[in-house]
Amino acid sequence: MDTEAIAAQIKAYIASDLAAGRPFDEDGDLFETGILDSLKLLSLVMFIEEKFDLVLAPDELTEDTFSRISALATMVAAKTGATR
Amino acid sequence: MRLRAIGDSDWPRLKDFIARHFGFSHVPERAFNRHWFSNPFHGGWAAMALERPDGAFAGVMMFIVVPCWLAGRQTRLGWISNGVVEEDAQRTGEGAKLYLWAYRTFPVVGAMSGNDVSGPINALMGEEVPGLRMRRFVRLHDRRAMVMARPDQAERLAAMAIQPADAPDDVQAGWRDDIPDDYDPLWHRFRAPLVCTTDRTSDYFRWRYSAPHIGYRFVEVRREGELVGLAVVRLQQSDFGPVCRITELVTEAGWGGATVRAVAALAAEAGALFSDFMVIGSCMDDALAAGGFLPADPSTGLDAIPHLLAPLEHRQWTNTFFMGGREARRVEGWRSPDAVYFTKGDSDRDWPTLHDLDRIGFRDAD
Repeated sequence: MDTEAIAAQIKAYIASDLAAGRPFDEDGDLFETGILDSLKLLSLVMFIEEKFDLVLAPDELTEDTFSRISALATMVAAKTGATR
Repeated sequence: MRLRAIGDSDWPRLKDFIARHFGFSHVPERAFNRHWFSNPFHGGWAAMALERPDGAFAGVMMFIVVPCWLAGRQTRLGWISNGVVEEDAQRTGEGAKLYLWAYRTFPVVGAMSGNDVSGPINALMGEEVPGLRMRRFVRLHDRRAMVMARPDQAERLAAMAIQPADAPDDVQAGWRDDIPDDYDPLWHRFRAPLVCTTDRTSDYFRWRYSAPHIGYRFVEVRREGELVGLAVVRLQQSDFGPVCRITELVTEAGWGGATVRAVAALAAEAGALFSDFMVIGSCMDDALAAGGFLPADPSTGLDAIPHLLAPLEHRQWTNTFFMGGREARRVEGWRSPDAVYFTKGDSDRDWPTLHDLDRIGFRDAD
């Protein structure tokens, strides 16, 4: 699975579960736009771990990585050895 | 922000954080915090900080680590005690690091109560099992206890019959200041049918009941010399008179009722206005009923007798209970009231408040 496909799956999860159907800026800052808080961040972590079969360490939950879907998809791709 | 373990040298910063963010029930004193959060069951501080680039703490979470009996073997349980993340760090979800660390680190994680933020997170990371809540049972000894009652129930409680607490004839009960030498075998028999509980061995009790600022006493109950029950009791001096807070009950099968009756009789003799016991799990329900304890809930009106006495507060605790952790997830069978046993003695449910410490003239020297 490439980075774009990973990003698409993350977007779909955010749209259905975290944004609860509300429109959201897919390229925006997920914290600034109120999509993520601690609870939703943990939900997203659990989704990513299960979907992509990986384990995230607490220190990997950085603002730089999780504020944008593109950065998050890049990190997941790197951890899973996915192709660009 | 960096997540890191708190160590001894962090005490000045930790104390400052506690004083600024934690409530009146968290004593900002080194000895108190060392006892609870740097105990022999963890070895070093069980506390994590979110550290800003300038070294200031933006968040702290503190854990009480205890031995746990889980599905027939010993492991460790980390109670989430206090956790606060400063507002700007909340906005970027920094608190998630603390929770992820907790649920990844401890084999079993427990959390009692929870606010609007921590409750949903604990429910997500662990489990909130329907029916598994901390329940409180009360036995009134003296009508003067009504002074404390919430006014809307005072009339109903005033009409309630108060039975004199009498010790059963077939056991001998007495106070003691140490743990009986023959206690551990009793505990091993008590824990055998349980799937999940704090492993209340004499080693655990020696640590737990040497906590600073609170004096606990033990009640032993014997039948023909054999130990059939042990209770741990705090006789709390409230503004209205003494109150018997039972924090532990460990009994031989068939002798729970006699033990509870004996404890109630000793409490009444000591002048307690009422006795209470808080428990998650149902294994002591019959014993408590036999000992004259009633559930403190709207069905009896006894929820009008406040739990928080220093200072007096009629606010009800949110006694939810969450459990999680990598081992707890794998074990079947603990999600049932008759398989679990936690008491008021667990986690930080029986802490002194700063009001209690004023009463004993405590002055922080640290």
